[in-house]
Amino acid sequence: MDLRRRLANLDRLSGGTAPPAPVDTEAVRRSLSLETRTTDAGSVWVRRQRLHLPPPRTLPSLQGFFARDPGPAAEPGDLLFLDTETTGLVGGTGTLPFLVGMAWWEDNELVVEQLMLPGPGHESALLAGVAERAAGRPIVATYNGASFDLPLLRTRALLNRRVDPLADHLGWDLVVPARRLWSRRLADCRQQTVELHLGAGQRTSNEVPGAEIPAVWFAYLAGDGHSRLEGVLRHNRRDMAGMARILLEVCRIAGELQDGAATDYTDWRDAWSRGRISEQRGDMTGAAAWLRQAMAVTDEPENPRLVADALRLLKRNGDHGRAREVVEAALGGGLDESWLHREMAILCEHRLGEPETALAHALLAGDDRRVARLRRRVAGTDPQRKEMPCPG
Amino acid sequence: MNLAQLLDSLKGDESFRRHVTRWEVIPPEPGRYADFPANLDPRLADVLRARGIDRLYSHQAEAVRLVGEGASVVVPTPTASGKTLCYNLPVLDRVLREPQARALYLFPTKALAQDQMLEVHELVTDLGVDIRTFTFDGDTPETARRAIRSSGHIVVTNPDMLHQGILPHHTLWVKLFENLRYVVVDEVHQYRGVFGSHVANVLRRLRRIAAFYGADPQFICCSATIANPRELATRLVGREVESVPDNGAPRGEKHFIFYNPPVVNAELGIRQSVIKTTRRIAERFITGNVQMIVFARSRMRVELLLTYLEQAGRRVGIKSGEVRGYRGGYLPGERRAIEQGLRDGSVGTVVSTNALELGIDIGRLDVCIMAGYAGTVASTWQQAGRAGRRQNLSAVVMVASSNPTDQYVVQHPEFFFDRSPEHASLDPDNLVILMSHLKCAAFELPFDQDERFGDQRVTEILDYLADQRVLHRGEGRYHWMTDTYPAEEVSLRSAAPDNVVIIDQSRPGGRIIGEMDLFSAQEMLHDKAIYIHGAQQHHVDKLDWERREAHVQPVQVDHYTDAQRKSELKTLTADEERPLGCGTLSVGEVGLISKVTVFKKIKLGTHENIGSDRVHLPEMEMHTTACWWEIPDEVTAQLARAGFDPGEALAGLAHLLGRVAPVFVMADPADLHTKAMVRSPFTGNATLYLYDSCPGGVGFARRIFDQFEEISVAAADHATGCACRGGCPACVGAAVESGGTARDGARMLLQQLRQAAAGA
Repeated sequence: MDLRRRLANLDRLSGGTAPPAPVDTEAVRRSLSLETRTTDAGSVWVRRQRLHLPPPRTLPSLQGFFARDPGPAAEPGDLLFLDTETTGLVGGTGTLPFLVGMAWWEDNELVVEQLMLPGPGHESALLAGVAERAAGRPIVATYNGASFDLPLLRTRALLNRRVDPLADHLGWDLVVPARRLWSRRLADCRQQTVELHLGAGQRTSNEVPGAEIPAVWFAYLAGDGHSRLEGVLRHNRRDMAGMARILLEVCRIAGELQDGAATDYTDWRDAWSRGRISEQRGDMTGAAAWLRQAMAVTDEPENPRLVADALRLLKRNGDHGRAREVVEAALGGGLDESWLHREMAILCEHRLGEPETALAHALLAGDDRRVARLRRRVAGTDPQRKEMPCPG
Repeated sequence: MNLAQLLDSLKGDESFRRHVTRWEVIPPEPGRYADFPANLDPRLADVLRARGIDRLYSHQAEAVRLVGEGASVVVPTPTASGKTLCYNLPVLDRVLREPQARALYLFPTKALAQDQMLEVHELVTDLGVDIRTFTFDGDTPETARRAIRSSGHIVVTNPDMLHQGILPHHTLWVKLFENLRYVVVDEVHQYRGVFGSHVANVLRRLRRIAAFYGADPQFICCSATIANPRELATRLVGREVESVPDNGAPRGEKHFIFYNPPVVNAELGIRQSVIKTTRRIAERFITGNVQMIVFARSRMRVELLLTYLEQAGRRVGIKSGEVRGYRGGYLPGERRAIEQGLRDGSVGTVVSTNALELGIDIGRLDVCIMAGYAGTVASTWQQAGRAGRRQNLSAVVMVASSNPTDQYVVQHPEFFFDRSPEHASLDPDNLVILMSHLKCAAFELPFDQDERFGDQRVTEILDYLADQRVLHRGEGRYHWMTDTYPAEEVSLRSAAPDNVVIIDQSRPGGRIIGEMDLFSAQEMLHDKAIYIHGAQQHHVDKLDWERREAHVQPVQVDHYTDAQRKSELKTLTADEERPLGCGTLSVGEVGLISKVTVFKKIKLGTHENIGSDRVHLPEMEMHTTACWWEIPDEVTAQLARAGFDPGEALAGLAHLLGRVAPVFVMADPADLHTKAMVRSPFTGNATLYLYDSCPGGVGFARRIFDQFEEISVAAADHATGCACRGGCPACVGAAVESGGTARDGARMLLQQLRQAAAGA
């Protein structure tokens, strides 16, 4: 019996799949209006478009927005946006990027350049194309790229025996500032959710949704048609523009934090987020001010994470009166937890000189040593005790 | 009493001796030694001297020499004969000279990997140099993985982790692969059958990735004693391997006793319980001043024996901490404490599963008792190797169970003592397994048009996979072209890719308690089946065939179920044939179509049939390798004339060969199935089939084809020597099922074969 029949007999998973048909790649390229770019490593398809999306005048310091040091202040021209569309999300060496979108600011416009593989054998050319655009732009901005796109390109470079085109670049992963700014308000921080929040319209039906993208590429390769590839290109271009918009918003907020100007936040959670970022930037006064604002307008004074942040920052700033108000509001809002009573006991004992109140909260906190000490103090039997707040 | 006195008392005890089928005294042998190789790094020699080792055993020196010359080697060596130095010396020597050099150690289990890690770690600590050794397995924390990838000189792992965790992510392991000089494969005799065939393919992938990074590692393998270590290792690692002959470790006198418990039911061939018997014998030793290990074949038996022996120990003033159990499921810390206790003597008796058969260092004990045959000659010698300090007397008692394999071996001790050990086989080219790994390999690196995989031309299979849209063929290469992670779908421990998951519904949200291949699931997990798992009966509420799920709950009932499979066997191709007796023996490919149609409920204890029910499940089709013996009409006519029913005789012979053949080809009885046909449509004659139970086959049928005469002689002897009347499960099948004439009919068939062979 021939091998093929034995294979079919043994391979119980097979059945019903038609073998792939040959593909006229040149016809596909023309119908998608893609150019061919020849590099030192072969050829790749390319599409370039200019979007009316002007850059920020300058880039403010983005300290405090990223997990890692974003580096010294940069120019808009230093930035390369990058996003890949791949054959899957499973990781490992079997996933390849078949479309790499890149964008940069040039003449007040956002130039989007998309490199697409005519077939998997053209990866080397694609990587050469990325290297070409990455040269001279020291910062690569991605959305979730630190854990996905950048390691992927590193792996692909290795497999194609090329130098990683982004090895020396500073990575700005925009998912980090997005989380820091909006995770308190949004159900999730996926790029599309954030874009919607920032006022972008819904994605349209002529874009292919992310989850369907690998299948579109496989269908093209198998000769089942390429009509949906245009939708993948659109999806990718939209992602590039979306990233630029998110960065613009991050820069706007950073600029205001930098200048200390009042920002037009619309929600107490925005004030809270700005407070946390100010804290990350080392601006403790600003941070405390943001948390005061957040507490002043919040409709969740009992939110434990908010209360903890506000207490920490207000105390650090020496604003013990406000700290007390925060605790009272939280207790009034129903956050009846022992750590909060303990905070109140400490404040009243050491900062506000109210041993009776401190004792009441120490009892509620179940803090026996403090209770004993405060009882002696209230009874006037604590000769050691000085009426001075202790440091720290 | 010391051991010599204990053995004397056993010798003098007629009630014990009566059931001994062999008392073999293996004479002591002095050690053979060699100096450290001249070019061994002096720092290593110093460290060894500081440990009191000022020369090597001859086999260690030979292994170091061969590896030094660039060869890949296999060292067949019994338990605890210093095999670890056979690989640690060349590896450390190389790393000392070439700090970039890397080595990968593969052990079949995690526990063994941990143990070996400790050992090499100690050597490295003594050397006082910066050689980093790490284990990398499922338990390695994410935070440590990066450092291991880039800086580990020696990475210790298992084949499953290599297959699923390392190779598909090879770009994260560039340092390792670029500098990979040695791959150590311990316990190679474990890599046989389905598991071995998978691992051979994993190693093909490993060599392919290494080649991509410009490395071509040497392999250093260790094996228990099998007939064909060199052949097995060569097939496993895919390159020529030299065998290091001549084990130089010394050994003391060893008494090896085969003990067959008395028959309690001659019809069913049931003997006194192996646990009861083992307990009785172990209790005699526990009173003496000896260190002992007792091997049992399941976790439950370990616990049972442990309880008995603790009680027995207490009666003679032994504290319970001196008698310990050891098995999977114990925490690592507890295991380490027991190992240490065995080394320093504070643990006097340990009851273990085969977990301690492997090379874990527990020093050497005086006595080893096996509750049941370990399944293969190699494993039995490994377990036996646990007893016997260098120059001292030691004793091993193998207590046979009623199980057919045990009965064959205990009744034919010459199989164990006088014959060369078994041949281990594997078949890396099993199409199902090969195809699974081609997918994994294509995921790891695209295939070039004419690239070979190991020594195999695979273009045709790659083309098939391209047609199935798993790969994309273009520009002379084959690229992975789906969004799945193929390694996740391939389990090294089973042949077929999908399994039925067994879910215990009595636990909140349902808890998965096991998995089973589809074929067996039809027989054991059909609706209303009683399925026994971990000694607990479960009722199968529903087998959801589409979703591959069996929903079960624990029950206590007085019966078990026995499903009837109707199968049809078609011969597809005969690859090779030769005359055998007056018939023909062939090997080739067969197709099996089978269906479970009905099951019986059988009462426990009395074995009465207390009802039956129908099963509705789809037909299963499988292709595999078979060996078949076609018996001409004149022979069946002779049988009939002699008053035997040819159908019964054939069925009896099938049963018999199904029990005896696995012993010879190092297979588990479940790896081989048989079928007797009074008239095969393919041959037109009475035909007896023996086939690999895994789809595609992994070489057992082929091995039987090569060894058929030897196996049939053994089968004839076994049928003649069996203590039953007219047939029992250990020989031709219980007389009630096989018919009264099966045993003598089967013997007549075999006799005919032998006469014809003698006449030829």
